[in-house]
Amino acid sequence: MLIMKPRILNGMMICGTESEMRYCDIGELHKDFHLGTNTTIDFIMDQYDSGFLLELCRRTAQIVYKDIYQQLQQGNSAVLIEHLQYYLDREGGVFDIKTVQDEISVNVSKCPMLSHITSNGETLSPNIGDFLSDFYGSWGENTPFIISVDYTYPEESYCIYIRRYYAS
Amino acid sequence: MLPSDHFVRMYNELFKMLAESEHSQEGLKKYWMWISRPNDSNQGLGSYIKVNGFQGMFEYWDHIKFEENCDMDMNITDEYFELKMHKCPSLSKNLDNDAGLCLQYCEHCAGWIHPIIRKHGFFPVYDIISPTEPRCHFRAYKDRELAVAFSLQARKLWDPYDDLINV
Repeated sequence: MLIMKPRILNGMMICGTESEMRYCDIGELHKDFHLGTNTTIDFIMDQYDSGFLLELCRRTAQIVYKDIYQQLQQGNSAVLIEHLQYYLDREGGVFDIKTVQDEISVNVSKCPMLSHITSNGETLSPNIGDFLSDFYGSWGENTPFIISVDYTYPEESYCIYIRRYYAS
Repeated sequence: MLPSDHFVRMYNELFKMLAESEHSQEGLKKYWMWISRPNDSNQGLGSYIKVNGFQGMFEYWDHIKFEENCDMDMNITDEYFELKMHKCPSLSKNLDNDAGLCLQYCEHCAGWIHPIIRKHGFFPVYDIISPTEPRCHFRAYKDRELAVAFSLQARKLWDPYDDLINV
């Protein structure tokens, strides 16, 4: 169980946990930002290409979330799991996390992002699956983990697999 | 899922990528226009303005103020609608971003909002004040001459489509 301890940073109240998540928001949610993600994916695929989308996901996963990525590079997936658990829970997602040997699976049976887009009458971007794979997959690059997403368009569920591998 | 709380940090990276690309300003404008269009319909800003004018602007941003945890004040007079942002949560998050701030970050607000304001017959004036301070000052006027007069007081005016010049 996470123990949340509000603290002040740059004049804003944010939460803290025993593990001190780098970004940890509290307060109201503006879920319409999910519509922005969906629209942005469509824009990139219309005006640019899949390489541009991958680069955006890579920058976000590896630079914006530098702390999570650095922990993964050091072989620690706990910070990523804590992040997923906190934000899926904060946004009302339905999910469960299982660990079997060297594989952690995060089964998201109702994704808050995907369900918010569809409940607002918007069509999921046909490239939403690429976005999920690129975003989560980027966290695994050059780390001891392979991170993949099993998603079938246009469902609102998917499963994230975080597999630790060892050099043979 | 990218948490809705963190969309603005991805947004910030996108602006950097667009700004770094060939025809950077054109790329940014295309993106702003792309995100502006859906906000002019459905339950977006445009639908509020279409029904209630200044009051519609107030209602739209009142909803945003709550959901985005903004520290801001709004005011309506006979001549203009005014929004004074004292602590922008969006820029604040990007000032607290391991990837660093895109110095063009604040430009996107006018980029998507101004086309909607103009479409409904008003003249927007957006004072960024500073791209590294999470505050700004926005007014939408009925009268172009009053808008131009107010714009002369701006510390960092951002008028991406030359709305105060081209009518």
